[in-house]
Amino acid sequence: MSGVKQRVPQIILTVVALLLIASAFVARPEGGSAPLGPRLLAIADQEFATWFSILAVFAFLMGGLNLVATHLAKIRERGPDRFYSLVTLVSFLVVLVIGTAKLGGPPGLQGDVTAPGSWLTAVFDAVLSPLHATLYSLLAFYIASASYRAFRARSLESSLLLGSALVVLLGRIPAGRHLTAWIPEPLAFLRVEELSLWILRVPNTAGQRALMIGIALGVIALAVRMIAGVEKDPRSGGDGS
Amino acid sequence: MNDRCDRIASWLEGLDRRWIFLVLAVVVVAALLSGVSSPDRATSVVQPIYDRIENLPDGAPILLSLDYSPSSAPELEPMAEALTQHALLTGHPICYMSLYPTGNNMISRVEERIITREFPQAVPARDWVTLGFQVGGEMLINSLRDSLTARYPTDVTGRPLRDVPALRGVRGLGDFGLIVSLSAGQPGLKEWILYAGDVLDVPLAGGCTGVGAPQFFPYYPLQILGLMSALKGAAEYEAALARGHPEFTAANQPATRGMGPQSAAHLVIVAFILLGNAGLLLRFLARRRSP
Repeated sequence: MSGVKQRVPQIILTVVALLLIASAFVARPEGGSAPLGPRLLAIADQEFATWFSILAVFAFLMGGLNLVATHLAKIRERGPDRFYSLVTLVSFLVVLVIGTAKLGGPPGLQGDVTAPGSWLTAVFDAVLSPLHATLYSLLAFYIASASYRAFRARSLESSLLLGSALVVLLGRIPAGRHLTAWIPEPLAFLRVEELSLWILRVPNTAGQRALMIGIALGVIALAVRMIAGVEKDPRSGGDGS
Repeated sequence: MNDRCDRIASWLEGLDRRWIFLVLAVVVVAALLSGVSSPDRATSVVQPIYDRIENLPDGAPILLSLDYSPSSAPELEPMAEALTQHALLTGHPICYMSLYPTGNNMISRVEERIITREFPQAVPARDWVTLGFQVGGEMLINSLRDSLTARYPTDVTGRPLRDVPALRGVRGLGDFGLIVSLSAGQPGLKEWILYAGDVLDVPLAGGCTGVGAPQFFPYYPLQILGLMSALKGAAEYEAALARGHPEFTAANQPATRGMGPQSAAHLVIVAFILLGNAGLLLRFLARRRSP
């Protein structure tokens, strides 16, 4: 029985992965006269995308259930943070009811849950939006404090980091542009906004591409191991090898 | 002398971060209250987006994906507003969608602030259409490649897409004149590049937050024709719009206005960085002079 439990998910994974890889490399057919193979791959690609979305909807459901279970347990245990759990649960349930019942908005399956005047929009405008904005604004203060402590010219590497940070910081504001506007046109590449753009476009791009290629190679290696069934897969409960 | 240098260096090293918070708050509030702003100009990274919209064939629709939540709205919403203004000024229908669950509300805000207030003559379904949020991220984009109706049989108001004049001639993503993703993270611009731009060869541009910008520069200019990064990118777009369309005044626009406080904040951070390094220098001098 355990062999079946391990093999069936592995077969599903391998077949689906191979079909998706094949569909990525085969051009989608135009019209109905295309060969059967590419047409089937295109249909599979389309269908898998739909199934993925259905699964993603269930992931929302699972997430919601998990949130309720976790916080109910915390409230039951009467831990020190139970009040926060209560706030989370009440907020979750209130928004869920408002959204599901489409209170204040156009009713029915086709009704826009976020139509102007709906309660969900009111919650969004009056609660969620200001909360997000407040939390995100705090970042500016922490960035300022962290910059003060981190950007110190203690070594060659940290000096390079410091220089880049200053150029990018100044290059991202109009005041920085005015600071070096006096530099004549033939030497315009030395102006701070041009230097800032150069840092982002050249050294940054080189570093980012190296990272992206490295990560992509790692992902390919992991995918090949999973398709071949040699990677430990928590879904099948198998040990792999 | 050495003692004094050492004392100042110690004070600077141990500076309570609440002083930094206070100075930053005072300067930003002062800049906000004074309303000081400085019109920007479009750099070579932003200008191609403006040029693309200017040179689109008459009536070519633009897909605008608002892939962000309220936390990133201060940086990305001005871009959505400027692009909406530009599209409506030039007569290109806009199709709004989102990969974020909060996307519908973000779209509503742009509709209310820009379309309702500034373009009262704009007609729903003819000048713009809202498809809204659907779950799926990259798989949603993948589904829309061949057919929008595969995942969006109707717009958010329940109108079938075949009855939407704004999407006449649009079957899949490849039929848009331009796709712009304003992206706060994942799913966002990267997924649009991988699943739409690269595959369909459809013109794609993006907007992103300041912290997200470095990861998107490798895609410019081959995979994305332009990139607006953070408030500065939005201010640059507003500047390009003001130059090309005199009826549009950049100074009244949110990104250009926001650049005043942002400039002040950046200058404060630069000043504190220099101060921190001055402390380091003083410490170094004190150690060199000490016997």
